[in-house]
Amino acid sequence: MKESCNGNVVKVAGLSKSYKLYDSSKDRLKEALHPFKKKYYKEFYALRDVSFELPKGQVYGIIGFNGSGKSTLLKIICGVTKPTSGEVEVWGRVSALLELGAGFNPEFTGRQNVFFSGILAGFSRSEMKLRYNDIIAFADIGDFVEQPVKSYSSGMVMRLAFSVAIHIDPDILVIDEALAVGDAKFRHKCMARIRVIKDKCTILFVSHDMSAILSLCDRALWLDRGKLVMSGEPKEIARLYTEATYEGTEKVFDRQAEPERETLTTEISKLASESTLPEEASVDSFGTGKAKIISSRLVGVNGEIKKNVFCGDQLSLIFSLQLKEGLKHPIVGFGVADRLGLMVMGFHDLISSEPELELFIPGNVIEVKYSFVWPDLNSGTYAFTVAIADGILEDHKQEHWIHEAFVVNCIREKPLHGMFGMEYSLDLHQTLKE
Amino acid sequence: MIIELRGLYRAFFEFVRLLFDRRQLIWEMARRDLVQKYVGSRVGLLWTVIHPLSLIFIFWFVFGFGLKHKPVANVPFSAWLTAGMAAWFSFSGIVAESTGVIVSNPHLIKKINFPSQILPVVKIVSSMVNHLVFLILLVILLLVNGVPITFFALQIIYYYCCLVFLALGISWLTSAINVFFRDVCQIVQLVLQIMFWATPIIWDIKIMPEKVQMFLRLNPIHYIIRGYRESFIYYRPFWLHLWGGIYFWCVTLFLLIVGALVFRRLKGHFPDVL
Repeated sequence: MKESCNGNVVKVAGLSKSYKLYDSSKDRLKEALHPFKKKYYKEFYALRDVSFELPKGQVYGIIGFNGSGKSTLLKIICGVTKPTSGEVEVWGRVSALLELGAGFNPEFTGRQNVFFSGILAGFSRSEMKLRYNDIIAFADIGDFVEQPVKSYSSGMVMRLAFSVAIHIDPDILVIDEALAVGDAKFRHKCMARIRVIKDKCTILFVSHDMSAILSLCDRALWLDRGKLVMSGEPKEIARLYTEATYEGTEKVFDRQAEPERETLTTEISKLASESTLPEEASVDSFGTGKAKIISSRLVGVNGEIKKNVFCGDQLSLIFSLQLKEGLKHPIVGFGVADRLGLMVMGFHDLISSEPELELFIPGNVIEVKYSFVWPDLNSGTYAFTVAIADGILEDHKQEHWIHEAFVVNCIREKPLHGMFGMEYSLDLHQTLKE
Repeated sequence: MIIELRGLYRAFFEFVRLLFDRRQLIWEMARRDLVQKYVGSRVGLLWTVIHPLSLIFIFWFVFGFGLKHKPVANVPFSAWLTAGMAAWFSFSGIVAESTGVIVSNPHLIKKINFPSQILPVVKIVSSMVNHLVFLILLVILLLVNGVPITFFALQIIYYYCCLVFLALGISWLTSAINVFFRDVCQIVQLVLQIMFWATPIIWDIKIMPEKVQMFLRLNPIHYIIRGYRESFIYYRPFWLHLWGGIYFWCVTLFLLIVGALVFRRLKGHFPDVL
């Protein structure tokens, strides 16, 4: 291992990777051997001018939409592909889980593949013999080690690959969403092991699972369309990233069309100021029609539309209502359901205790606002159902009910069992024995 | 210009040195290559004997028995033929299999950081078993026919090295270009077919007029085939062909360097093309 400089294990400077889109592979050959380097291709940038340094002994999360260049970046760091321009310096042995079972020969048994992977990484047969039992014990796939890998389930391939990757003393461990196929128990085991080995090695980790990024990583890098949008605290990046997930999804795939673009952070602030109405196109609604909910939206303190909510956020649910006939006792209510459709909470209340207000003249558009603090709910998506009714709280007729009018995304940093969190303290008391 | 040449020299040297550094990997892969070929079949390694034996038998039957080919240099035709075929089939086997070796291992090239230049070397190492069987059959044939084995037979080591280096240079070239231009595989097969008949393997070069012989000697494979026969049958030392040797090594080193440099240049593109 070469001596690392300034404690960095990976240094990437001005890295670009352009895929040359050739009309045929003949053109590619002609160009590679052309004495005057004539160009035969159209360029597509998978990575554009990415620079960062990774100090030793930390866990880095890389996030980004599909096609943002994450895998290309990892492939370059692992040395599978070469960058088009820019510099990559990597100090130490890289162990990679780029794709499920990459480097395994499906015709050979688990045992043979373990040995082969080790020798490929530069170990001798006898060195691998010493590690073999540990690898098999960690993978825990039973008698399947003696079976050809082609007979494995994807979970087993992943277990074996992960086990080999961590047992060949990597200085840098690269994991590209490979853990996703493991069951909860094994994933837990992997996470625990990553926490153990991170003292000795640097870990690069690509995932779409925000809770894994938040719980595991010391720093996060956000890539979008081949550019490094930002790097820093995982918490901050996860928040901005999830916001962008809901706003910009449709733009992700037309990446070839735009040549240059400002960074996404500025776009997010732009989006926040735009007040788009929640879509109502495909929602279920019913009611007598005496009153209509024109729109309903969840806004923050500055009146910005909220798509992502955190525990403790000060929120307002605003109803825009149009009354076709006078209502005696208008009631507005809303319910919040989790992703399984289970109603987590629901409220309804009289708009006013005084029934005969000026506001309730037919044809008028009125706005009603519920203000509340977002409770400590588990991460996930929550759907708001909104309704207007007439009557008393105990018995009323629905005038307009919109089922799951819009959806918000709740982010809780610490994973939680169940639906709700609460404040608690944990104390330790020891009684000494005589 | 000089700096560029020095750069190329260093590139070539590093490219070749990696083969030595990864010798364990080469060894392991060659083992796997053999295991993959023969394990699982009923008679296993016996196939390495059956193949050359049947080939020798067919050629003996057609030319020796059917067409009544006369003994060459007082040695039965079948033994004389086997000496030439041992070299030829080793050479053609390496080149034919190596040409497709990059294309047939995308899981190594695309998915992991893999030193792909070792793949043709792996083919060479694993083909040694076949070659050894061929040589053993040859020795048996000679002894059965009362032809003694002398110290000249040790020259086979030198001629086998010649064979390996020639085959390696060509294999690097063809396997790299085959990634971009898949027809290369077919072209190589075709050229090998033609070369088999155009090289004095099953016929003696002496049946040709002197002028044509000069031309035939330009074929570097002829140097190897003649070498094999001289080691076992004619008992002539290799230094008798000084100019032939110099010519052979010029051609071989040229192919080896060009093959290595072309492979090195194209290597970075493999993961993107496959």
